[in-house]
Amino acid sequence: MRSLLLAIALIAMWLLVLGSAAGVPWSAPLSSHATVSLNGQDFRPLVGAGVEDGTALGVGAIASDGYALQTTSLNKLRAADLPVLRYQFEDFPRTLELVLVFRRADAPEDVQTVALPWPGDGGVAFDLRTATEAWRGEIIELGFAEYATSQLVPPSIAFRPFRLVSARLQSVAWSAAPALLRSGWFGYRPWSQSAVNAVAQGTEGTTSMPLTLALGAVMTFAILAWLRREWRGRLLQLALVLAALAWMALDLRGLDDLWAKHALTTSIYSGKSWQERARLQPDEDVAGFAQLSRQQSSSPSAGQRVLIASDSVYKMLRLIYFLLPLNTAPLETAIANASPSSFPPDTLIVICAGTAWQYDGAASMLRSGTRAVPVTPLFVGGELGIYRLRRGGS
Amino acid sequence: MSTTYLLGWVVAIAAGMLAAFGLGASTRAGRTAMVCGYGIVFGMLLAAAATAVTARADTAQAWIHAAPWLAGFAIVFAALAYWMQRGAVIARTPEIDDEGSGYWPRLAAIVALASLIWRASILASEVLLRPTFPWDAWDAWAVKSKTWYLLGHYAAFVSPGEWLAHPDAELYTGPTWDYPSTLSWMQVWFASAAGDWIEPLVNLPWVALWAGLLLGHYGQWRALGLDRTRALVSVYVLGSLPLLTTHVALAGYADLWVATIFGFGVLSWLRWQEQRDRAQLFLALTCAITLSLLKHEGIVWCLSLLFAIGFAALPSRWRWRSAWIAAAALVIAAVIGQSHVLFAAVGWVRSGSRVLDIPVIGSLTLAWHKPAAIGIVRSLFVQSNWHLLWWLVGPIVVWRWRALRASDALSVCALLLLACFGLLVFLFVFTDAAGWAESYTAVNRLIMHITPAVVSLLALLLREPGAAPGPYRKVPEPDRLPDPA
Repeated sequence: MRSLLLAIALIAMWLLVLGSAAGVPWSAPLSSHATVSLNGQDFRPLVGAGVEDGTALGVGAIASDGYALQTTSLNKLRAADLPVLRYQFEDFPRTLELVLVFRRADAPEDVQTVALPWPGDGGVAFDLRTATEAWRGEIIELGFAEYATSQLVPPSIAFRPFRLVSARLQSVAWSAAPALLRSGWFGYRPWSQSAVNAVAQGTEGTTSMPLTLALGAVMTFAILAWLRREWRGRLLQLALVLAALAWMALDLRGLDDLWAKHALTTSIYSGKSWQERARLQPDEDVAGFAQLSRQQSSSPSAGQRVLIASDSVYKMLRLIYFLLPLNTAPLETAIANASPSSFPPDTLIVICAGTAWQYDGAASMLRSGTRAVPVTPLFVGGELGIYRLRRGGS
Repeated sequence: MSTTYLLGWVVAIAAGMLAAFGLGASTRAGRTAMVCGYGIVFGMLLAAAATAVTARADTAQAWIHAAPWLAGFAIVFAALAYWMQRGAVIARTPEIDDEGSGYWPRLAAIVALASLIWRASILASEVLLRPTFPWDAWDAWAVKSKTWYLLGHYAAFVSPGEWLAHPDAELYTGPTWDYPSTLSWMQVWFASAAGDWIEPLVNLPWVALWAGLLLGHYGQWRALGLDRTRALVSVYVLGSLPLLTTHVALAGYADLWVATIFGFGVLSWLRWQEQRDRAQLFLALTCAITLSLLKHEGIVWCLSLLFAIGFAALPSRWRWRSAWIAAAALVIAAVIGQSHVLFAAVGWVRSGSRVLDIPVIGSLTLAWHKPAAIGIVRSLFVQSNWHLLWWLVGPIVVWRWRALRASDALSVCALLLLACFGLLVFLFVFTDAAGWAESYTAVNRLIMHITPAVVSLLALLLREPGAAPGPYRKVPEPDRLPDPA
């Protein structure tokens, strides 16, 4: 009898803990009372190319600006009634990241986006309530966009054909809890620049696996200590076993996550020489700018100085790194500390993906607000401008 | 991977191990692991030092210039250290009952070891495949090394103002021009051994660092009286921490180096306290100084460790009296100096009514930041950075409170770590560095600096009662034993 009571107490407690972690309210029904199911063929390829493939949509190409988008119109669905999104893709490459795109009836011009867990093989469930405040009102359009994973995957090799199989919106129900927890805890998330600051495993909305397991372990300990009198002499061992089990569960998840991240690295770089890998930079455009800039510069030993400007700090710093050992500095820093007339005469100025500095051809000046630098253009094309400082600056 | 690159590794690690062997000759339990761990880490740092001193004029061939000096230094140092400790192979470490472990703990230790080996293989593969990825790795730490190696010689990095003031000089600048150069010189060593600027090969030391961290801690834990199973499980706990794993996989940041050296310093200091092994005191002081050469924040940990070493060296009745005297002296110095106090290695610290100006950190406005406090709690207990480490600290300390109070070494170590943690909490919760905790940009990395030492404290609290080794004592060599007759 006591064993039965113990089993019931443990099951109830873990249901409470895991259900809370999945974000399922106690009042939720066992199964969804509202569901909107969409097949892949219901979506139109708005950007990129795609064809119907049975009930799915085969996406065969991305647009020249590096992404694909498939959407479908919806008949003013109430977002609050349908917060759980389930989606299924086939052959979705690990090199792409997936974004949910939607429009609301109250702001039809605004496109709302939410980053989604990588779909992998099989379905993924995602709670839109916890992911974005924008999931409210009435939804009139829904879609998926795919991009090369930013700052991680070279866009030139990111795309491979895949199939959008299905998508489903449904109300919150206990039946969705396992899938929500699975994608919350084990959903693949690629390396990001912030990973060295805070580890992100799974999608981690309200769902913290360490917190859940710690609370679960503490409550399990309390229940076992309360209902298993014969274990009261070995509480220490019990606590150690529970802590060890929780730690190992977390570590298995960590290793699984590390393995998934490593699979992406392997898929991009494995079997290639260092020279090939060095060319496969996630920011291929900046690497290309560096190559063009280097062609216009003297050798590093000549001591020529190169000043860089860009609207994006990331691109500016990356360009500086790619250009090493050229003697570089940010243009803004140089201008803030000295007059351009004091710069060495052969100084190069590189404007990379920047609009703050504009070339005034009539006066042969680079201008940013009231500031002006006399230059001679050496190369101007696309997002790159390379100029040589001209004497007579102010 | 070229032969010269492998040779570069062999020379660096052999030199480090040789030096560590000279210093680690006084123990039996854990000696091999300690020599390997400390040897790997200090081998890489000695290679950096040798490169900085001997190869400035020809960085392309840096390792060829530096290797003979490195080898010579290691041989002389090891011989000297060994000679000073001759006859000191001690018997003071109590016999640790490794055979008595039960089936399940041993199985857990084997699983833990297997897990670490698997993790190591993934990490090595990840680092060997990828170009340098994380932001500060290419924006801060690899800038000098890449410049010096590809330029073929050393060039000074200066502030932007100075760079602009000397347009004809071969000076470089950048946002991180004043960062310590130790890791940059280490990367120059490995780039020159590889024969090109090959980023995976330049970043591979981070994998070796992780291995050295685990081996060094295992060896020291064993020397401090932990049985094999507990030491292995503790190594697993340390090696499985997600943030440490991430700093290896995304190699290039200095934080793991600071964490390792601080952890080593604390362990050596503990051994000095418990065993009175002078070589370990030398290692602890070396670690403290090295901290200041790795990263600006290392200066704070360096001073903390030095202060703790001095504090513990005092007779117990003098400790708190001295601490109060030091605090009073600080206040008097601040009053006399009109809120300016000169700190060794830090410089002039200025305090205003709501401002604290610390040279290595910057000007900090004092105020309470609740979101930062929440950020710290989330970092420690909710995010996936530390598994359950910080959940376990409180219960283990409470459970082993008597053991903590009974051990002078562990008590002072706990005080040091509490003070370090308090400094971090003060920095993040009461100054405008709060943004780093709210955005999680620095809070976890700074907490990581003391994490290996925290794991050491917990592991040593869990050692068998009576397993703590006694004071170190030289034992006569057999041929000098007195004749029983």
